[in-house]
Amino acid sequence: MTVLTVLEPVPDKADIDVRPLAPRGLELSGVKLGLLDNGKPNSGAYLDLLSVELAEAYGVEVVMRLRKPGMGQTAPPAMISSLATHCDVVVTGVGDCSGCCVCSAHDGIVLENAGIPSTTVCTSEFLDAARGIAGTLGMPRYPFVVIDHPFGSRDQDDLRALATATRERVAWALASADPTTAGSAPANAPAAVTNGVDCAC
Amino acid sequence: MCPARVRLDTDASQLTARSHEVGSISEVQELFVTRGWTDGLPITPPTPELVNRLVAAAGLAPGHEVVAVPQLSRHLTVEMLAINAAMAGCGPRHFPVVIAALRAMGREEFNLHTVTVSGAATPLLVIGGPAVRALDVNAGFSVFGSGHVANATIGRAIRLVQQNLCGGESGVEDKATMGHPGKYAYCIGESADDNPWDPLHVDRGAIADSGVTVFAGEAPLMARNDWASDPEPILSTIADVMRVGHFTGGPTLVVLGPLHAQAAARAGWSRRDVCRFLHEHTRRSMADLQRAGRMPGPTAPENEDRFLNVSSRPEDILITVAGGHLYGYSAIVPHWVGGPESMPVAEPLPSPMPLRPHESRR
Repeated sequence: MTVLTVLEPVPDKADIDVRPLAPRGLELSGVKLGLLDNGKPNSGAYLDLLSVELAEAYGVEVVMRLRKPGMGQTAPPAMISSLATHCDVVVTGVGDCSGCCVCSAHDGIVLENAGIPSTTVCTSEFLDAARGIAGTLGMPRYPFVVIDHPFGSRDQDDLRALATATRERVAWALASADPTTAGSAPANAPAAVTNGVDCAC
Repeated sequence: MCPARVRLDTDASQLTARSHEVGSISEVQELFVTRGWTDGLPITPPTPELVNRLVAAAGLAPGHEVVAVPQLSRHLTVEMLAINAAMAGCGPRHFPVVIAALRAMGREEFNLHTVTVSGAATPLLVIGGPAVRALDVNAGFSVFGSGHVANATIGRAIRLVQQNLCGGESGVEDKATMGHPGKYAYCIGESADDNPWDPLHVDRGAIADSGVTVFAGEAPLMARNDWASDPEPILSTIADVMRVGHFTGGPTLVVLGPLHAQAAARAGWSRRDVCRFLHEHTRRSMADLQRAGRMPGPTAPENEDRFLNVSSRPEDILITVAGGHLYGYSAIVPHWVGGPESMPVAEPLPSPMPLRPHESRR
């Protein structure tokens, strides 16, 4: 016998439209790369080192490097517009806290919606938050590149090693026609590229 | 096992939330705890009837958008807020304060999502003006404590909204190291009788009799000076406590106790005088901060002469007056670690409904 009707205090998630990733399958040689630094400690330094690695290994051309005005805010529309206009692919990050991780992932997914393949680098402890926002924004297969937590206290040598270690994963996330299909990836590439279903990290 | 059955429509008017039919109050509690929708305490069942009463008190359509959370691409409606406020125990007279506070929290400079999910801060509500008396908001003894319906239920409503609608579920997206005891409720009144200056909300630009100011603050720190009667030694004590802050340049809220406020008023100090004094006395050299390990890197000689203030500008120090009048205490509410990435926002309040005879004050 029903005695009470009560209402749910949370949003109804039933009506989220799932959208595809931006088309991939690129050769990275000559591709214009943009970096979107969220301003967290070490993020800019890591992204710079990573971009050098990507340029040397794959021949990408680093054409734009932007730093957001606030780590806990999504990128201003003008920044997204600049990246979408001048870049073929974009790396955002580094998400090593809930607020900054969600915002960097949000930026990457907005770029995907604008047709720009992207990936967001985040730490293992915030992958759940990252997956959550990807699902909320209707892009559950958005590729994240996951690194160990903590990140902000690493020294320059660590960052350089990290850039080298993540280079192929980032390239895979940006260029593979299906970055979320681990089975077809090079053996050393997909481990930390997650499709929101599993992660080896 | 959850005993409830999900039903997609409601009988009541224009409400659109999913509903559940349950057999008893204890089944309601089990449902809400199982789903992770509570703060750990029992809730008031958000029935369509109760939610409709709150919606009516807001004077807005249930689907009216009050606040957007762009990081989550989410739009919070009056109905969603009313459900959470009902759970918190808010009555129709309190709900307009919840609406106004969330409107303030939705302003870009407050940065609602990020202060919800990171750091050791939570929004403190300071209610000022005639609404304090009309809604029976505690502005006196044990002002940060428990025992007052308005403070408890308005504060709890804000927290449940953050948890259920803004990504603030503990341990899921909110991975703060320490959290904050005020994440149950963090809401105080400003004492009109003891405040010698304009209400805080007026000082912050909300020109109205009553208003609410929201401030992303850490837990309050106590500054005790029972022995001085002039403003300088009292404010020096307060400044000394402020100097443990993050030095990331954000705003600071100072709750002057009535005795401390009276000392400033007797000496003819304006609120600006107080802010200037506190600003000048809350700087530390970068070298000093480095020696304390609070800034990275070895101490550089030139950093002996480079200074940081707890709050970057005098006007970023907010002054309100509240608390009991028997002892010389003030409270400092330090800013969120992100500093100026969250700024306080004030919002006017509608004139509150008068108390009905059976709604007795304590």
